Amino acid sequence: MTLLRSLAALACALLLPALSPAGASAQGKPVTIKLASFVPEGSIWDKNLRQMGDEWRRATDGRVALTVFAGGQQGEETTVVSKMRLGALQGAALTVLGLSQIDLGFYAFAIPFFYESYDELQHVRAALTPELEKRLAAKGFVLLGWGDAGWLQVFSKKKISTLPELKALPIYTAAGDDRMVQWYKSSGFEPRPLAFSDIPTALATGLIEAVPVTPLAALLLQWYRTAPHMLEIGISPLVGATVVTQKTWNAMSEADRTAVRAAAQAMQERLRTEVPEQDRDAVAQMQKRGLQVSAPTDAQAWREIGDRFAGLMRGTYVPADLYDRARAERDAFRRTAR
Amino acid sequence: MRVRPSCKARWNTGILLPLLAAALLAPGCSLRRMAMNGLADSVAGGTGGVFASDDDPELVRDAAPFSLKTLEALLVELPEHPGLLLAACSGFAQYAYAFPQTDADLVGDADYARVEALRTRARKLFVRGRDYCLRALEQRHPGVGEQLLLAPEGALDWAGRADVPLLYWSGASWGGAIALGLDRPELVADFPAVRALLARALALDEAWDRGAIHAALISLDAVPEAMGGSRARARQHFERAVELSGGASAGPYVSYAVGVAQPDGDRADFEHLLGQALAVDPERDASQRLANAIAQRRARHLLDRADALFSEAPAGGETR
Repeated sequence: MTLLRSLAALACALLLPALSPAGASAQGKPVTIKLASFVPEGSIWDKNLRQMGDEWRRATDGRVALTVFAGGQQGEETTVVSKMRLGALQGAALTVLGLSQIDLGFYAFAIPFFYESYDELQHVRAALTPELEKRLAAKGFVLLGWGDAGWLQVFSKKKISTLPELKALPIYTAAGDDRMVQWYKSSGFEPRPLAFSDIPTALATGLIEAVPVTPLAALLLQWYRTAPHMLEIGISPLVGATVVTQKTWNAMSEADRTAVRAAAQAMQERLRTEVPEQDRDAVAQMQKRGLQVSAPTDAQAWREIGDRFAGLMRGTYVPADLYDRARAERDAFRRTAR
Repeated sequence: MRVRPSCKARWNTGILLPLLAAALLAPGCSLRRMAMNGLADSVAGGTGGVFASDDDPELVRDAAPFSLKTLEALLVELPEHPGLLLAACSGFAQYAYAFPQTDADLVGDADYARVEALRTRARKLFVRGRDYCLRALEQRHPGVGEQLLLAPEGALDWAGRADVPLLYWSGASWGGAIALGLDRPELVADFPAVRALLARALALDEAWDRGAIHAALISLDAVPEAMGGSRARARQHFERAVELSGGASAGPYVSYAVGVAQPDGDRADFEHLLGQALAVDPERDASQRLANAIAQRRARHLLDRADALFSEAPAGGETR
């Protein structure tokens, strides 16, 4: 009897996982991650997110499922962060603007003229990741992986090649950031704070004549049609990241977390290659349709204003310790790279 | 040959193989060309919406490729025949939408690789259709292809009312390719050309084909405002498309549900619109049987997936 009972118990133990409903996680129920993004459905980033979701599903036997709400349909980044805190969403692919709503440290990747190449950015980002993960965890979020979104250039209605020429043009800045507007004004620019969705009309009417945007976004949004000059100045990278709530993360088994993170890292690597390629291709396609590209003729002036801007960001936008760490890592990379 | 300004030109490519063989085998160059032209005219002129009025999408799925390849065979002989070019353009665009693209949407998130393969196939078919339309446009007005890339507004001022079917199918096939190619800069770049084609068609014959242009513009104006979309315009096109179709077309309800209600998170409106799409009687307008069958298939699938398409906050919120 004892043997029989043991065999029965063993059979139960072996059979149970197979008989339990498909998709049950270690904690007993499947995890569905409703994730918001701001990229258009079908774009390079959206496709990568969906591929990641497919890898999650297969690697976890359906225990972790992803539903993507693309194209900003869940609201602005601030709204999405609130929805994650409320539990209406379990994840988001955010840009530094949304990430900085959770922790200001992410502004370290949005300092103008601070990075000169993707390699430099990648080095600093890898160095800062553990600290940023810690900061996110303290606020209830988990960083799954980074996502490159391109490099910001200046698109304008008339040709510019010097800093004074840019300063003379009314330029878009995000509404609601008074400190930024004040900095722009005190540095001699003509900032026009606007909602993102108002940019096409503002460009068409001349309310703004310049806008910082990545080439791929300028193409997707067709802004280059009304702003057909690109100053190849490389203001800063546009960095994004995929995050999920700590509660969702905790609901997964250790093995599933490993699989989920691996797929997110694979997406990060794909985007590192694909996005810079698409940015280059976007410029080529826009040039075929009339875009004029120019290079700055006063590089030193841009570097100087970049340094002034960076000085403003240290301790206000970017926590001083993270800023200093980013700078030290960047300088160290430059020393070894040169 | 004058193209009939009617969407009944859709899939009117019921072709008799012996006719084709006779045309290809006809002796003598001029006689052969005459036979080819006669055949091309009858093919492009159509046999009266034999595909569009079919209520069996699977039969059409199997039959259409033969007709499309026959059109292409004729186009090898008559590469500038305007009727054939338009029939090929509209045929490939409709096949791409009705089958590979709809199939991909029905698979949903269940199999990414399969969805990607289907969407890639649909995109290529749309592009193939678009290229036939562009060839026809170039015949009609040399240089227009280049103008559509560089300065689409004003590129079509020369077009008249008889050009509306060509303008419509150029826009529809190009728009279909872009919608499935947002990861391809060379396609995305020409979104304004699609807007220009449909805007010109609308200006020339607003009520064409019982509101088909308005129906296409629902999706076009449902894009985010940052891309030049407008909720107000999308609503106007939706209402006019329903009005002009006499409520006999399910397509506008599905387009508005997917383009506006879903992104706006309005589940009640989404379900109401799809319910209206399903309530359309497919027998009311025989010429739209196939289009309605496809639209209603999509509507049923979307209703089944509504839980996954909308995020709603659970009561009580989330605790860390």
